[in-house]
Amino acid sequence: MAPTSIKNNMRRLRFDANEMTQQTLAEHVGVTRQTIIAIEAAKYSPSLELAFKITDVFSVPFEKVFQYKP
Amino acid sequence: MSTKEKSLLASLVITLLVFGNFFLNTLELALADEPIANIGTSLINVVISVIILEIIVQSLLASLSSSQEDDERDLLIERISFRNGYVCLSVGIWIWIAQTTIPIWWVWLDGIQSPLPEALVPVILLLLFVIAEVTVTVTRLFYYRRGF
Repeated sequence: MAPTSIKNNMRRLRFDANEMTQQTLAEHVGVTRQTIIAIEAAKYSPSLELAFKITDVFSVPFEKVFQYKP
Repeated sequence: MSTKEKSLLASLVITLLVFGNFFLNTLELALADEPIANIGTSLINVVISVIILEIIVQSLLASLSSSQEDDERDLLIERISFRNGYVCLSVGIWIWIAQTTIPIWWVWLDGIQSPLPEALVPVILLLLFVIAEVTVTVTRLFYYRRGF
């Protein structure tokens, strides 16, 4: 599957947030761990709602988490 | 491999084994021009076997691991998979309609009048549903394994 045009810094942000696990992040935003893995690997573009939920968890501006790189 | 993938893989194996065996046996009989007796009973038996096996295997899988609710990615993959399954079913149904309503096509193709014995009609319909179901499962497995 080709990577999407939405890149992210989730791995870095998780590391900065006390090495938060993918499972913890998944539970915070209400998705499965597999979905977090797919988003981090840029294989799946999350919905706008999920993207905002993820941003809220890290308490950083949206563009610090997700970037559009066509 | 996640619980969902294991469940899908189990469904695929059961479907291919049970229905595959049934279709191969029926095809052998049809090709040997032998009378296909009790096709209705065989059909019911094979469907019940699949249901029982699915209940047993899926219950075992559910008891071994915690269940996960579907999220937006699961629903998206499911939607794409059902669309692919629908395309397969539609193509099959259209081919079947064509061959039953326009038999002249088959006369042109290989000089036969009716390529499909009436007893095989329910089997062909079941085959179309099974192909559609396998397409749905394979598509879902593909997207889960390769990422989406």
